[in-house]
Amino acid sequence: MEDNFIITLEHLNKSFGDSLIVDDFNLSIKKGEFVTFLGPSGCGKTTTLRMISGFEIPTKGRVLLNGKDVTNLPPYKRPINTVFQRYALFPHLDVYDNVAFGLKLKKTPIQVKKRISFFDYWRKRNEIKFSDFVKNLFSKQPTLLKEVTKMKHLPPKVIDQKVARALKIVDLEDLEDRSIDTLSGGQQQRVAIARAIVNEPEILLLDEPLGALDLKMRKEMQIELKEMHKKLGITFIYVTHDQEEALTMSDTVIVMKGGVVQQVGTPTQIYNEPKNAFVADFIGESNIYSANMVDKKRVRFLNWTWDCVDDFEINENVDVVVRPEDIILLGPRTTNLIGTIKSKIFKGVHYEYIVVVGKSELQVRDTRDLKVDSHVSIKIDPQNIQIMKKQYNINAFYDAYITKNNKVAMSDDEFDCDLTQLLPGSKIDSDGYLTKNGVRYNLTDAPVAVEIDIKNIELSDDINASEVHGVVINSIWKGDYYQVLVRSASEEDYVLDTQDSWNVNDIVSIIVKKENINLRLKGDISKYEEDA
Amino acid sequence: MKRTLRFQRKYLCIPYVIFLILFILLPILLIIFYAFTDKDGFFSAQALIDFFSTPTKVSILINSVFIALQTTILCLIIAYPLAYFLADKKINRNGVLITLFIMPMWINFVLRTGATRDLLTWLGVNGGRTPYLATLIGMVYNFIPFTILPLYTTMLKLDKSQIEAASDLGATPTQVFIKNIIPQSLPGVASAATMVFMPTMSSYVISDTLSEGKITLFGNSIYISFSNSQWNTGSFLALIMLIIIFLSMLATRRFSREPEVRGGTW
Repeated sequence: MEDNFIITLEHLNKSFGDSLIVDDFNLSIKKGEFVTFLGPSGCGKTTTLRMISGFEIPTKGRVLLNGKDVTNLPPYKRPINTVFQRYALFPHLDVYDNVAFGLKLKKTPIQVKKRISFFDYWRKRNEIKFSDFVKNLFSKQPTLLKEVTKMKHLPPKVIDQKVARALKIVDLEDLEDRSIDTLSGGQQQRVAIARAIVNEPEILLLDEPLGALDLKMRKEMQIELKEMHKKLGITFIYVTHDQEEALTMSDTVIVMKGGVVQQVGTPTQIYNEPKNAFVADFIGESNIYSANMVDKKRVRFLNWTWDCVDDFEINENVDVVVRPEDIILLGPRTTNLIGTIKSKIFKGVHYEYIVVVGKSELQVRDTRDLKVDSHVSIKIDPQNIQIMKKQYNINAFYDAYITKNNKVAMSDDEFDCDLTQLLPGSKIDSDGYLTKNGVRYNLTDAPVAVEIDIKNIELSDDINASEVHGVVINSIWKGDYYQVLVRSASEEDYVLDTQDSWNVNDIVSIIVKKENINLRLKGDISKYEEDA
Repeated sequence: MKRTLRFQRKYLCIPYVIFLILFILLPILLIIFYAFTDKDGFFSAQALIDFFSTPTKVSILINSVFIALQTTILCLIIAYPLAYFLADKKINRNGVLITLFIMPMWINFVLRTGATRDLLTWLGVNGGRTPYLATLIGMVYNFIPFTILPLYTTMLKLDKSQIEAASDLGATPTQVFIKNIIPQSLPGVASAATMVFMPTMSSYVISDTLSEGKITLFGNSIYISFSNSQWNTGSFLALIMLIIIFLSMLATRRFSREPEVRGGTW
């Protein structure tokens, strides 16, 4: 079965200095598949791609191409071509020469018939008469021939044909003689694709190829790339941080975070059955809650017990994800959970409602026009409640936002944080705006996902040590440390490891150092650019 | 109503305009004037006729161009790979090496040339016996920092993604070098060539010192003309030099892909 896979990555590891970029990456890709590596920036997706193309050598692990180990093979020896993020076209060459670049370098073995030499005669001197050999040597149509394999460049005519075909595939037939800097971004993108596919690679790697295009152009190119993939029938490996792009184009999506594969699956699997809260949050809109399994196939969240289809151990703490379109709003009924509509936004086909239940919020999508402040009861079909194993090494908050004081807030718990991590090379200016290269970003109310390692939360008796206070819910002895669960006044749960022993119902200050709060902006930072 | 004289930004360039007229335009006009007049200030083509009818003068010119070309090519051959390796952060970690290589520029030119002569004599390359070789070595030594610097800056700016793209498309390291790195660095080569060719054409101290007066370059003959008060002949030679440098600039401009600077003075 193994020859079915065109490329296999075995235990790939890559670290630069001390930092681990890719951690134990395993993957097999079938011939002709469209595979996408999806993840936020810095998740190691590009590094993995570069190990496939040969620009990076893995620290550990192997890359197998058609079952052969190519881990240490330089890029120019691999039958793999790349479409680069910034196109990387050759400005000193015109469109034709850019596309023909690879073909002109290529040498193919050609069987040539050649007149036999004296040595050949000598070896077979018993079979061939000397006079025949001499005659053969001088005749214009020699009969004594031998086959020789010669490495030859492709004839110009063949190159012409191939370039023309590639340019036709990308819709640039008439631009052969144009110089690169007279082309628009979209056209340059097409040249970059043509330059890669003209070599008929077994695998085409695309490193965020649409990142530099505007939205409309990007949508068009997505469809065209998908068509191209069908037409060419070769394997595409695509890297992007845009979840929508990944879902529309791919056969298989690999979601990555921090160098670790989170989930591998078809777009539908990834969307409908996310394996953990990160995947659920990264792919599409979602409501994520901490929950507890109260009974067999019964889960409790939002202070309500729900039927569900996933079987987890009773009393296990889990994460639950419900998609906004899976929540059904009904008229108030006593048998259901009741919430209040806090706001609504018209989105064309549907309305987007925020429904408040206790101190939690639900994002709901509904086509009906309901009144703000009206009470509704909430129904969720058991199969639409996706239950995921809780990750106990980090505290994750997926509906946090940035306040106008540059703090990060989970519900009403505000912490100091370092906003510059959202944009490498940026800083906070004297007016409190995030700036980079003269561009200002106004991040007030920007939604972010927050992660805090459970080792990085501290508690204190001193009520003035922090503005965030909470109550110790439980404390479990884990052998050499306690794992403590604290619930804050605004009903957010914090899990932490500590050496100290805390009593249940203690009121404590929750302290998190600025540098230990990891932020991830939802959506692109360019949305928050301030107009000068 | 009284018009007040308000300071405007364009007034800032007045000193430069004065400088331009006084030290650049006026001298050039004077050179042209002297080149085509005789001792009494009347129009005359005597200098022109003199120059082209004296074989030694023409051969000095050809010789100078030849030496300048050789120096330029030698400098490029030596400096190009050097700059390439110096631009590699792994080799030249904090720019110490590049500083070492351009350090000779900080030492007084005449002093340095004198020292070069003594060193060459000690090494057995005697200016008296092999004036041509000694001159060439001296020229290359003196002008190589001027070649390294522009090449180094170009190499630093090389587009790494283009190099990767070439490699990705099947180019071996040698092919990447020939088909991508060299074309990418052509603007640097052009400016390095200009930086060497122009001054070598006009310099005479190096050849004078190192060849012990056996090689006369074009710069020498201009100097000699003026020191013998032959202003008209000297000016005509200077004019020829000006034209050659202008032509060489035109030739190298084709290669430098620097974006055109638009906009006027005001």
